[in-house]
This record gives sequence, structure tokens and C-alpha cells, in this order.
Amino acid sequence: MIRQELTINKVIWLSIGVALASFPHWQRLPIWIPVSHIILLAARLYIPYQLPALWSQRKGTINIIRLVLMFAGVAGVYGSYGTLTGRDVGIALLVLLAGFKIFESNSKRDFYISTYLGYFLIITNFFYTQTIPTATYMMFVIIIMTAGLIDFNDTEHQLTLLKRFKLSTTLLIQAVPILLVLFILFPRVNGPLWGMPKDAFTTTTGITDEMSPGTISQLVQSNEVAFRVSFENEIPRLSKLYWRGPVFWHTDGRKWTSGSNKSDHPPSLIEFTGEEIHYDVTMEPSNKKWLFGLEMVSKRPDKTYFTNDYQLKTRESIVARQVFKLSSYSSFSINKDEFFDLGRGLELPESTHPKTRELASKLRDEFQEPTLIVQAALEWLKKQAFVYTLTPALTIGDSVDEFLFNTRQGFCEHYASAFTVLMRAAGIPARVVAGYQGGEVNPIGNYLIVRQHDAHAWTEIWLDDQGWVRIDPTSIIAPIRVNEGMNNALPDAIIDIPLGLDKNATAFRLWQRLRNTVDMVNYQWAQWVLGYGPEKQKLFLKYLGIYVIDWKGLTVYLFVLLGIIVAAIAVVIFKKTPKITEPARKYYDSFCKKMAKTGLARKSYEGPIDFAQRASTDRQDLESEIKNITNLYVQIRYCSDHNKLLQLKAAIKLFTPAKEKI
Amino acid sequence: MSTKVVLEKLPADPAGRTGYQLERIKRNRVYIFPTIQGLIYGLMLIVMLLGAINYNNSMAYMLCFLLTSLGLVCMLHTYKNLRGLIISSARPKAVFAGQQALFPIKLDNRLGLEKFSVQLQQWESRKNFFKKRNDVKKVFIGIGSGQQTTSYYPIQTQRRGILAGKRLKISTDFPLGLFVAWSYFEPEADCLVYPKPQGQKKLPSYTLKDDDMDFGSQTGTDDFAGFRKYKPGDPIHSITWKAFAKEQGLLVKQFSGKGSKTLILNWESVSHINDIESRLSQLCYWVLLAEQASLHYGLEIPNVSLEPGRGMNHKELCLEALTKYGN
Repeated sequence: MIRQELTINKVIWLSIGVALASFPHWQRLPIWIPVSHIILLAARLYIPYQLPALWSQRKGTINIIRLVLMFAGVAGVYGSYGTLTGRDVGIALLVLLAGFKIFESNSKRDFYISTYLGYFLIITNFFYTQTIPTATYMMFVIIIMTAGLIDFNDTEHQLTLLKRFKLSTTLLIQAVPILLVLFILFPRVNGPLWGMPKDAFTTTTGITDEMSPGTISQLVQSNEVAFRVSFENEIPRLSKLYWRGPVFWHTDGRKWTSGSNKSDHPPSLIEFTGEEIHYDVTMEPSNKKWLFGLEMVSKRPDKTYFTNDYQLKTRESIVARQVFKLSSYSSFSINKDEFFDLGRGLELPESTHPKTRELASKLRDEFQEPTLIVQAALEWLKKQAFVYTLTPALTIGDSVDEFLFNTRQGFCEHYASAFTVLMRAAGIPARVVAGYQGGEVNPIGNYLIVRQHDAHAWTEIWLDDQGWVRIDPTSIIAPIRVNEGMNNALPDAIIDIPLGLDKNATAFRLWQRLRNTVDMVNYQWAQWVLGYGPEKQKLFLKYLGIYVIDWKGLTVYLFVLLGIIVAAIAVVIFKKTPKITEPARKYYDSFCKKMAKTGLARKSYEGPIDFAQRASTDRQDLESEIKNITNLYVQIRYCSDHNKLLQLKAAIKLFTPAKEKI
Repeated sequence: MSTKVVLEKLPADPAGRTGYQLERIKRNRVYIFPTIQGLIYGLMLIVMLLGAINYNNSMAYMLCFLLTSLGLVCMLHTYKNLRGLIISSARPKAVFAGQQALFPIKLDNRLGLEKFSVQLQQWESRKNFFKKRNDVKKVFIGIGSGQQTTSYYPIQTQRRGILAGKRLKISTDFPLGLFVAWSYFEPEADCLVYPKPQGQKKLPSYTLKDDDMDFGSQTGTDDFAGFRKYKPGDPIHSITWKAFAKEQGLLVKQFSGKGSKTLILNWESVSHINDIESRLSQLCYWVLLAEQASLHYGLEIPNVSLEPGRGMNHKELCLEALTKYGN
């Protein structure tokens, strides 16, 4: 076997491709891993290429060194992560391995294995981010790696660097139609096939299962999208949009949690009135199980369930963008006739909030009736000089008392938690509900974007005859928050408007439009590309007029279409004929074509002059024209008389022989 | 001339001419199959697909499908890289046993786009398919669009005789090495393998033929004796080019004289050697030495007898006779 030595030239594009493929991982890995990865790649490019060949002569020693290095690498990863399983560890090992493999590459097999490792590195990036920029970046990496493969197989060095990249791009462009057929028609199944590593999805910002002063105001700093909603009909008023998330029962005086002693009572009864609203919620990955539905959800999608306090939860954590079909009523009443869990709604930690308790007993003594107490409490809130702010003064000691009677600066979680405590102290069962409120309408695409900064918290109290009723104390303090959304309730600094833009109305509008367009593109990408699962596939195929539902039928479709598309591409590829670059020859060929139409075709062995001779004896009516053209052609081609090119072109253009001899 | 073979494509002329003379062009089928790298690539795709399904990751699906499509497109390009090649063989130059015979393989790419990294290698029977082939030579060729090229496929010769061209596999795995497309070609020309020149350096004693009465058959270098018609094998320098220029045909000057040294290499002169091949080797060596020494030499071996003469053509005739001995 002729040894296919891997010269540095052959490895360089592979190394660049692999380095670029692993690049987005660098920030996520312990620093020593990308450093050794790069050192290994650079070393392979730097050392004279005879070295790997030398290695193969000393296989024994090299194998031992290799084993030791590999072991050191694995041990290092173990040292950094404390485990050898999981997604991050897998990627750390893959990055190391790719470095080692390229470093020791000296044969065709090594080259291909390294390339395949590179492709795997690309795919691992998508487990972290699947945005359009990432996809575009990876496309470039694939072009580079494919060019590397072409370079490897171009043994005669017929292609320049540019042509190699051109061919690589051509191959990938020709692959796109097949890709589309595969992507659309390949039968999708709901994963996972096996368990996912625990760290498969890193924590993302969002509402969590506990709430203390500051948790929500922190979220408000984030412009990240929590979910998007498209309504079947028109978008309801912002003030009606309460997206229900976790429900908190238990407090230690400062922090709220859902509490440990949950009852296993089935979800309480619910009555709906009014008009049903139908909508799709596209959740961004939250790594949590809450599905934020509009209060109150009447129809939940499969694979979700209600807890007895009407949290809508998915069975699996939401780890990828996912679309849910929901229906809701905005008027409802829950738990009107049942009394379970009311005791939990009155619990307060002992000997806390003395001032609040004092106020509560005052209110209770004065008004007796729960409804009146609530009203009086809200009145009280309104009268005091409460400030709605993201940066409240720090509370020291009893946070509720401090807030209600001293600092009086707070954000929704302060109001919700203080009001709930006040209600409980007054003997009215109450709980805190966290979620999102409002959203931002994107007029381009007409859907609602709910961002993390729309995070909100409110109170629910239980009243006789009415059941659980939502009370949003924030709406008393800062009605603008609920009516016009977060963007208007807070100073501009929070919303990411570029500096100075807010002063110029036109520029601001333009900027807003751009932002909306970008978000629309992202939304569609999320809806149709990233969210293309079994349901979307069924929907899309129906739209295309394909009503095959089971995977067998789909597979038949897939293969038939695949065959057609591949055949079509084959026609395009094979139909390409060599380009005649010489102009004179091109013109002359068109002349020959014209002659062939009259029945006089040039034979392969005939030179132009011989052909002219034969043709003009056959068609004496064309003699002068044929001779003229042939003379010009001969002068250009064989006497290098290139000035006559235009003359030839004109003569051939004018040449229109009649089919038959006149 | 041997048959031309075109791979898959029947040529059509872009200029609409009635086509090249195709009577002698035979169409050959091109086969295509994944290479080992291609099979591993397929395995990689399956792993990727499982990952995509498990993680429900659309971009992973996308990458997996893109690479699948790339593989399919690559297959078409690999096939295209052979399609339309016209192959023909030419007669290889004669060699001495032990030398490498170079079989000229003409590759004509007038029908197709540029061909990259086309490989020629000896065809292996299926039986040896899995054996490690260390001795199989590969010749890599690149041919521009509309170009022709002649490539020489080397075959190591072992013994004297007529070496038939080996069946060749013409293959390519360009552009990505995932698929290999191949076809077969049988060079029809044979290669003459002269005996290996070896043995004594000393020429057998000259025999002066003194039957000078027979004028016609005797040639010398001394006195000009007239012209006669050219016979194949006559030394080129004895041709009268002036007469040729006057369109009198090829004439050869004839000389007469007793002084010409004539060496007849015959079977008796090597009778001391037992082995026939060694005899032929010895004779071959002597032919070369005699030619070098500008002697007149003739060859007489069973069934063949060549009149004394000299020059390149004469030498080749003698060597050919030795080569074909026993056939």
C-alpha cells in the first residue's frame, strides 16, 4: 500500500475546522481543556510531518505514551468535573480527543476519524444553542471541513484554494433540496429514546420554585424571552393577561415556597363563564415544568397536568422550545364549595410580623366581613405613600413589617408577599401566585412576546361563595404596570433601548420595528424549525396536502420524493457540459449548429476548411457566406488575428440559412 | 489500434455535429459503492440521528440530514468524475525481462468536465479482495476538461515473452472519498519482453562468408554496387534520401566488398548452455553487443533466420525473434 502521508497542507483545514467547531465550547470548559486542544492542533501543524511517520516505526513506545497521555486527559477531566458522565464531561472528552487524534494523525484513516470527530463537535454545540447565528456559523465550519476533505482527495492538486471552497459550497448547496425533503418528511418521534444526562440543560433564568424579596426584580433586568403566544383571535387586553406559574403556600417570614405538606386532593372544581380564548404558547427552554397558561386554562395539552392549586405543569422539564395548544377563560371561579387546604392558607411563622398582625386585627375588628377587610386593606395600601420600584431600600429585620411600615418601596413580590401575610393575619386564607403579567405585542407577525421582565407575583385569597380570587396589590400601587405593561411602568434604563434613541421618535420607531422583525424571524425559526416535532410535522404535512399519519406511509413518501429529488440533482450535475471558453470557437460552434439544422453537419474529422468546401458545394446559394465565416474563423484561430472577432460574431449572427436549397 | 471504451456516457457533440466516429467506441458500465470511510460516515450519521431523536434537537436533525444529503450528492459527483472518460490503450515499448513494462493508457476527456484524481490499478480477483495488497501500484491522474492524457501503467516483468496487458481497474473516490466509482478496462496491446541480456561478453568468432559469387545476397561497406528497394530492417543510414526527395521511393544503397565482417549468431554458438532461456539471454546480449560494435550480424535460431544486417530496426527484429522463440 502506498502510504498516504498526511502533509501539513492536508491537515491544516481539518485543524482549522475542528478548532472552529470546538470554539463555542471553550467558554464552557475548564480552561486547560481548550488550551491543550489548541496546543495539540498547533503542534501537529508545527512539527515536521515526518514525525508522525517516524512514530509508526516505534509503535511500542508511542503506544505507551499515547495511553499515558489519554489516561492523563481522562483523569484531568475527572479532576475538573468529579464525574465521567454527563453532557459537559462528554464534550470535554470529545474536545480533548479531537485534539489528540489530529495530533497523532498520519494516515488516511486518522484523517477521516478526525473529520468525523469534528462533525460530532458541531452537533454538540446545538445542545447548548440553536439560534440562527449558531446555525450560520456552523454552516461555515462545515464548508471548511468539507473543503478539507476535498483537499485530501485532490491528490493531483488540480484545485486552487478558492476552487476547493467553491466546490465544497456547491456540494452543500446541492445537498439542500435533499436536506429539506429529509427534514420535512423524516418521521419524527417524541424523544427521548433513553435517559438524558442530568446536566443536559443548564439552568436558565426564569421563575423558580421559591420567591423572596429580589427574585422577581432580578428577573426584570432580563430581556430574555420567556415564551411567545399567538392567539387564534385578537389579543386580549394586557391587564387581563395573567400567566399563571408556581403557587406559594409556605413562608418563613421572608422566603416563599410551595411548602412541603401538600395535600393529595384532586384539582378543585372550576367554573368558567364568558368566552373561551384559544392560543399557542411557545415556551423557551426553562428547564422547569411550569407551563404558563392564561388564567384560567380550560383545555390543557397532552403530557401536562394540573396540580390541585391549578399550576399547569408538564411531565418533563421544558428543555427545548416547545409549542403548546391551550384554551382559557378569563372569568372563572375555583374551589367555591370546597374547603381543602384552607388551613395551609392561614399559616404564618410564629412570632413574626408583629406590626402587620396588629394592623390585621385592627382591620378584622373593624370590618368583620372578609370582603370588606380586603377592600379596607387595599384602601390602606393606596393611601400610604408606596413606591413601585426595582431598587427598593434594603429591609433589615422583619422584611414584611419593614416594608409595610417603614421603607414602603417595593416591587411586585414585596407587595404580593406583604398582602398575603396581611390577609392571613386577618384570618383570610391567602397564597402567592407567581408568573408573568402582560407581554409585548409584536405587530409584525401579530403575536405576544412575554419576556422575563414581565415576571410578576400576585395574591389569591379565598372568599366564601367566590372561592379563590385574584388580588393584585401591585395594580393598586402602580396601575400602569398592569394596564400598559412593564415597559411603561419602569424607567427606560431597564429596557434595552440604545442610548439616545428614546429622544428621537422616528429613530425609536425604526429601532422598535427592527427589533420586532428580528424577534419575528426568531419566533418563526423557533416555531417551524426548532419546534418541528411530531405535531408540527402532522400540521405542516396537512398543509401540504399529505394526510398520511403513520410513520410507514411517511417513509414511503420520503423515499419516493428522495428518489425524485436525487434524480433531479443528478440531471443538473450530469447535464453540465464543459464550457468553451474561447470566443471564436463558441461563435463557430453556433455556426455549425445552424448548418446542422439545414442538414449539413460537420463531421468530427472535418477541419473548418474541408467542411466549408463540402458545404459550399452542397449549398451553392450559401457559398459566399460560408466561405466568409470560415475565412474569418481560420484567421482568428490559426493566424491569431483577434481583431476580426467582432466581424465573425456579426457575420454569424446575420447568417440565417434557409432549410432547403432555393 | 485497440478498442476505445467510453465510461457510461454516449457522446453527444455540443456543436450538433453528427458525432464522433463511435463505431469503435464501446460503452462500459461504471459501478459505485461506499468506501470504508463512507461506511463509517454512515455509522456516524446513524449515531447523530439517534442523538437528535433523543435530545429532540432540531438542529441536530438538520446537521444529520445535511451530512446525509452531502453524502448522496458526493455519490453523484464521484460517478460524474468517471462518466464520459474515453479510454484506449497503445502498444507499450518493448522492455528487457526484469524491467518495468509501461502500458500507455490514453484517457480522453473531450466529453466531460475536469476529472480529478482518477486512479488506475491492476484489477484484483475477488479471491484476493481482502488480502493486504502491498504490491498493487496505483497511478493517479487528473485530466482537464477537453484534454487528453497518456498515463503509463507499470507492470514489473519477470520473464521473456509476450506480456499481455493486465485488466485494469479505473476508479475514483473524489470529491469526498465516501464513495468509490470504478470500471474495468482491458488494454489490448501486448508488451514484448525481450530476454534479459546476460552471459559472456565475448562475441563468438566472426565468420566471414566467402560465397561472394552470390552477389545479391552479399552486402559490404566498401564499394558502391547500386540501389535496391528498401526492405524493412535495412539500416536507416543506408537509405538514399536524395532519391526519396525526387519521389523515386525508398531506395537503399548497396555496397559490395569482401572486407565486411559478418557475424552469424546461431543456436550452435550457444550450444554450450543447457537452459534455453539462458541461451536466449546470451544471444540477446550478443545482439546488443554486435549492434554496439557496428557489426553485420544475423540470427539463426530454430524456425527463424534473419539475414545479416545492422541498425535499430534490425536489432529489434532480432530481439523480437528471440522473444517470440517457442511461441
